[in-house]
Amino acid sequence: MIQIGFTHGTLHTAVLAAMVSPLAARRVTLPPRMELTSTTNEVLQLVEKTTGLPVIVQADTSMRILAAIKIAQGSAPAHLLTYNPKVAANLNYAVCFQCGFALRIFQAPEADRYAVGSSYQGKKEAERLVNEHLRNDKGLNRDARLHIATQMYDGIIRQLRSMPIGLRVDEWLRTTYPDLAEEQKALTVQQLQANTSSLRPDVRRFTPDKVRNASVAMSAATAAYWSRTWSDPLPLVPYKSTGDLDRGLALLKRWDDLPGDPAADKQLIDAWGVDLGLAGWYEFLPGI
Amino acid sequence: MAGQAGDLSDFTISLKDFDQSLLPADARTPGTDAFQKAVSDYFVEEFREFGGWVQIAVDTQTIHVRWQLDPDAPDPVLSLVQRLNRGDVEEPVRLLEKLCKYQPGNVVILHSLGMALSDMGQLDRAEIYLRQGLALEPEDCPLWTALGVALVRQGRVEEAIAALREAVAIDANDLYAQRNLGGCLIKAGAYQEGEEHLRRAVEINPKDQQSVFGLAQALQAQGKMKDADTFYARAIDLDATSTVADAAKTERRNLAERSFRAAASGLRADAVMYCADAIRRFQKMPSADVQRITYEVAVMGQRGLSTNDPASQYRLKSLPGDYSGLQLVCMMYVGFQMVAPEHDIGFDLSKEYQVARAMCDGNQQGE
Repeated sequence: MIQIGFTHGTLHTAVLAAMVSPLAARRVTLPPRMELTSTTNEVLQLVEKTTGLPVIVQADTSMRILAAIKIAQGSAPAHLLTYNPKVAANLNYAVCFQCGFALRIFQAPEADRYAVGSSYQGKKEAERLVNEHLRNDKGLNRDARLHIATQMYDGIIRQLRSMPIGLRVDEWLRTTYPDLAEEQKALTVQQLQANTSSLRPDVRRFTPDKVRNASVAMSAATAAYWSRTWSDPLPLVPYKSTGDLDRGLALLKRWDDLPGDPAADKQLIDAWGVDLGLAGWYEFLPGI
Repeated sequence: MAGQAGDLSDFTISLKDFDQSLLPADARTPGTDAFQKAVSDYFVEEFREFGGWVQIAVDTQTIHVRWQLDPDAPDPVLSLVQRLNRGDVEEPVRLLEKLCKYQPGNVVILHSLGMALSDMGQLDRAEIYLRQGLALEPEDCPLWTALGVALVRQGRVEEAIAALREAVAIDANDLYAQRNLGGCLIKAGAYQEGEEHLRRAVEINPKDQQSVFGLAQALQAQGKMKDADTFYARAIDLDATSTVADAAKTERRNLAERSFRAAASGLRADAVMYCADAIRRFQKMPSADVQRITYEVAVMGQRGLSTNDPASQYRLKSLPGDYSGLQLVCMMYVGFQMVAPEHDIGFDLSKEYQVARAMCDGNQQGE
């Protein structure tokens, strides 16, 4: 088991929040630093109190995604939260969303902390499916097919790791920090739009049915969650037209039925994995 | 957009991924015109409720759908509400009920449907929508007010009063809450309390004709005739062509006649003399002149003539001189007897007229 550098991660969040943190002054901020609201600072402090380590918040113009958090491991002195300046006015939500992921890991009992890693079986299965799917595509040699399989495999595992837990984080932010609602909505709308790219014919061409169906079902579940939250059917339209909505609704029902506690996150990922036929495609690595 | 999921939806799907069970059975062959049209129709229908514009491009491999809310177009819900406000009811109600299935928590929709159905006389359904809205927004004054109106329209006056008291407790400055509560209290016989709420309504908006009229009625019900007449006159001034003004005019005439009769038992000698004077004057005039004078007085009388105050003086364009209110009413009565005897001016001077007529006829015979 990887040992982690904190001592009170199993305490209830509310108790931690009530404690005076000697770590608050230790947060490292590097210029250029955009203005963070008091809510965002509160969430950052919560991460610091929960994990016992500061959070470095840093802009990174080279990022291809909007934001990410690298949890401190081993002797690393801080968590590194990077964001793409493109998030602009929605920076606070982007930062809090990443913090939410870190918090859920550290709020789980130590025995339930995990990292989702690749599995040999999953990689081989992905290669086989891609080879079968593209066997008639004479323009792609073996290396190209392997490259596609690797990209596709990494993508679907990343999606499985992030989407169901991302909805838990969003639910927490939505109900706990209503002042973030506007930014949350703005970035979520962008994300929902981006998710429909999995339906694109060019993506479809290189993607075996099993992977395509799993990916689209998770996107449909995300759309269904927000459709329900906003009482707005618009996000459902693409998935309804392709007949994928029912799979998304089934995943969302699974999400509803399982406990929302961080300790159950591993169970949630596994449940979606089984439902999507991805059992064995990933492994839970112990600890952080 | 209709809800909150942004103002753009742009996606492309492979033709073979489209769920063909969504299409009519005879339009499921890709590449055919029927297929293309059916796909387009499907997406047009899917996006219809959101308003805006949808473009659908179907080729041999892909379906590209792009929906965008017209930034200049109003929100579809608000657009439907505006149509309701313009009196266009049936289609907006149907569309709002459809939207309500998707957005059961949208209080604007529930409120609008409740009010529209109430206006359509579908009071049971109106009450359901309004109570659903109140379950979501229990501190919404206009919702309580709309519920109160729907209840009083069903004859459930006490329940209406309770609902309207909630509305007033939430917002004492809401015109509609105050006005409707005042109206319901009058209906329940609580005139004094009704007067208080209607006075408050008039304070909130002195130009609200219905509040002014309601206040006049509350005053009249308590026997405060002079004050009532003042507010009826003010209601007429606010919009002389409205149905409220017509009602106010009727009330003023009734008040004037009652007051006129109360001032003396039996015949009013002054009215007999004014009638006789008018008969003599009009007998010497061409009927066109009589008609012009009569109509001028009638128009003037639209906003009321003071028949109990001899000091009030009026002037006519068509007849020189200063006249009291009673004198003009007598002139109008006589004029209509000559040019349109079937017309009821709403002020009964028949006995005074008959005596005056006899006096004039007797004089003529004696001349």
